[in-house]
Amino acid sequence: MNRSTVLSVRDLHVEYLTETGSVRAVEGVSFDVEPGEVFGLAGESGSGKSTIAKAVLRILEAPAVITGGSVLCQGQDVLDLDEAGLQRMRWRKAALVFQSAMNVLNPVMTVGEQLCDVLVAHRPIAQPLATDRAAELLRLVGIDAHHLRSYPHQLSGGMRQRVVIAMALALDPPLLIMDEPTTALDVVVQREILGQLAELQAKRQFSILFITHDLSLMIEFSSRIGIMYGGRMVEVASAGGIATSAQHPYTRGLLRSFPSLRGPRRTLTGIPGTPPDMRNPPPGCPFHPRCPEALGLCRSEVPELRPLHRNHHAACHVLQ
Amino acid sequence: MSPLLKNRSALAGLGILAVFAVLALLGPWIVGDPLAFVARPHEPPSTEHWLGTTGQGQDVLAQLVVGTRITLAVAFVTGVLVTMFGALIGTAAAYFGGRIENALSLLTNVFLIMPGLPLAVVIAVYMPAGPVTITIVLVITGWAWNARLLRAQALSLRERDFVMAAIVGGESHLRVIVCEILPNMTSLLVSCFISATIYALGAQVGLEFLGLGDISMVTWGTMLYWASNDAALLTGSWWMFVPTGLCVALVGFALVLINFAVDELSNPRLRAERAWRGRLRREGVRVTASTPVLRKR
Amino acid sequence: MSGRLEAAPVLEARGLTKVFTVGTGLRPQRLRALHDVSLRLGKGRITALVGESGSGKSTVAKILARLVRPTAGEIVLDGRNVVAEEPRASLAYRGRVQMIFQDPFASLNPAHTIAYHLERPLVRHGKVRGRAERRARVAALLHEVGLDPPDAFTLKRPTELSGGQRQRIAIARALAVEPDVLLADEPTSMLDVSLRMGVLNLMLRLRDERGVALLYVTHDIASARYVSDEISVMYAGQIVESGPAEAVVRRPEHPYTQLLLAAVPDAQQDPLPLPAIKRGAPPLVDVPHGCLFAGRCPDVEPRCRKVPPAVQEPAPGHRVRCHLVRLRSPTEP
Repeated sequence: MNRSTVLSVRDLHVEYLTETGSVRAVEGVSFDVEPGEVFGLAGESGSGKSTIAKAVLRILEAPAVITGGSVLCQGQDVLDLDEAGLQRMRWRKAALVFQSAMNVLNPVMTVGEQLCDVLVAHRPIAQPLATDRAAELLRLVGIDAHHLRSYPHQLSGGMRQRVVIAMALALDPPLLIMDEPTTALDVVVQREILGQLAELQAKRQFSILFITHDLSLMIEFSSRIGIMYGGRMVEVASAGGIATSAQHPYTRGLLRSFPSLRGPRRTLTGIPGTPPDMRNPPPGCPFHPRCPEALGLCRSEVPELRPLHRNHHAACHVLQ
Repeated sequence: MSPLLKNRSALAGLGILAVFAVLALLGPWIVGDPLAFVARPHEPPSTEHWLGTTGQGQDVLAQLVVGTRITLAVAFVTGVLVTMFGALIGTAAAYFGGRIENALSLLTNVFLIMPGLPLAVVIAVYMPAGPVTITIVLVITGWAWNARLLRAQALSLRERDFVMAAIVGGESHLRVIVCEILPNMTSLLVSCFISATIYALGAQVGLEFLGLGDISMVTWGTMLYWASNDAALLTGSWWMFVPTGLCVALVGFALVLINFAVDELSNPRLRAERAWRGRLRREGVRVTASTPVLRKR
Repeated sequence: MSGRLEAAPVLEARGLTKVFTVGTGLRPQRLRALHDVSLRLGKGRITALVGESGSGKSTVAKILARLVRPTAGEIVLDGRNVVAEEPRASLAYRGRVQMIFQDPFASLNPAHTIAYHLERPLVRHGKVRGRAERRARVAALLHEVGLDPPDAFTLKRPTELSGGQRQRIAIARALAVEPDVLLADEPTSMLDVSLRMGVLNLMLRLRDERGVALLYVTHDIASARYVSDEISVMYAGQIVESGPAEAVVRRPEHPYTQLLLAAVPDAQQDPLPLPAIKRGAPPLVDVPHGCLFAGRCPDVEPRCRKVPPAVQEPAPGHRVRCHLVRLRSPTEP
């Protein structure tokens, strides 16, 4: 990790404490996000990816507890910060774009008021200046400035999501965390928004931690991808590396689950079985019950994330 | 049922109710005739008469114990009937929608705004005095509140896919209401029943206190009527109404405790949060708005 | 569909229209969710209905399932118009047309066991006599949808199963009455990705083994291509293009279909540039005259805004609702 790494997560552990025991949602996950790159975190139910998104900003709700590791955001360990430090860090060093804009935007305030709220809360500036900046932010995401006076329900789903992105970018954070930002949107709107985001990112050089279950979308949009399963990181590689030479049996199974539009029509199989129940995870490798290549070792020992070749890591006994 | 028994509030509430249930069932055989003249009127509590005597020279304790049966019976029967009518009308309104819903909602609203007490008085005047009349009166004036509540939840359940699936499967309207929708409303139904019973208890005692019950019968409410009639306050004979009032309050309290327990049970998130807070406190980690860090390694 | 010899469809929708009145207060608005939608579901064939949210595709499924009454139009089952004959769906209809819902977490009743869910339709439609036969049928249904051993599932409640398992139970429930038509409303969109292929392959097996006529409603045109024989694309409550799956996907004629195909992410190939189509929402309230896509279409001509386009047939079986479709000669690819 060099000093300019935007986000460096090491050995992160997150648990949910319930009265019947604890659910280990994230187990020893490590990854880096470099400046100017899009790092995608892919996974399904129980993988822990959404938990990580919120854990980085420490906004997980009860009964979540972070039980180990470090989260270095531009050099500062988020897990050591107190409440005041966290307030200063959030939105300035890292901002979060949630999945459903409808749940984030206040229905009784105009868009302009909400944007100004964000600006003024973190950096005291005069109202007219805030309004100007808010207009600028809207234009940045492709929304006409007159919508400063609109209420969220007057905007379409795509526009609302753009407003949420504008709010996240208000203070120019070096890191933007996006948790399923386009899942609730139409495929066409999704394409437009992500295209715009890519342009913005090229211009302003911020990094994106992009979290979604849609691996095809992630391969198109990310520079590097981390695949999560059962709370662990099972493979990390460049987008191209995942698309053409995925190594981990889970990743390969996932890629076999997306029917192609343009290629030939083949029978696909997906992955048999069901995602793990995180209240009672299987011993050893979390994927072994569904893995076509499972060895005896897989049932007892958790594989570590090891480099296979340059910039391609995987956690699998079969590959070692 | 068993998780209910592990909850402290529920245990306390059920315990209190159990005591009163025993009193109601077995009491009359243990104490003497409540209407008999046993000693001088207005006698304070003594070793012979633990709660003293009434203005007519009757044993207060005997009256209290014997009165438990009718009072509790009216309260619970009213509770059951109010919940049943409320469930039937509320759920039917939600399920059928359209004109039927409008008609039933109108009916509900009319009964809601009808002033309970004057109506109760009017009805009581025309019908023979007694616990049956009181039950009828309380059910008529009390069902509408629960109907509104239950309709709201039934509305949200009606839109759920499993109700649609049952309809597509060919189930009849009645079957869908009774077998698909109502079973998912049990916690709200129990809650409604408990609050209806509490209401029935208080209202019943109140009506009887006003003299609208059968004053020749022995119930907690009529005890209070006679206490007022016999100038208990003026003479300082607190034993003629304080114990009775306390019993009403205790039963109400027991029901509320059970209600709390049911609420907690049907909301697992509350339980999880409680466990989480407990653990953090034991480890000495402050609970703030941000996710806490609890290092184990 | 002219030009191709075909057995009569099992279930047919003719000219379905549905108008909702929305909004309270003094100015209720008319939302035209469907207009003149016609579909044919053939035995042993999977027809996909593709569209984004607001296109009306789920409304079509609900109308065919007779959960929603159409404002106009006919539903024809075996040549008989059921909307006219039975104002309320008969048990016989319910025994022939079944539905699978989108949300596996909501389509099963949490208060009942799996056995109850599967036994009810068997009992209601008189498919079994006696407890032994009932149990055997339930076990057979569970086996058919790939849930073995049956005893591991019958006494469980829905909350104890995963999304993929629940969806299979929902399919088993629909199959219990031995329907001729299955209406699947976005059956995989709420499932984990790794489980979707299993359900899609199950649908293919049902088509081949049971010969059901399957309507697959989805927003994902890639899965529609994988599983279906025919694709119909919907926009703003109308079918704008329909035809054999390969034809629609390889040679889309309607600009909206072209937009949809270009916008879908594909891991194996570079993303195609989006056609120059203006951003906008489908007009469901205050419906304009003329073509509903005219407000966004890059090739729009004056007549598009004034005259609603008729349905053209550029190739046999491939129909498009557009003024500007070239009628290809049969020798062109």
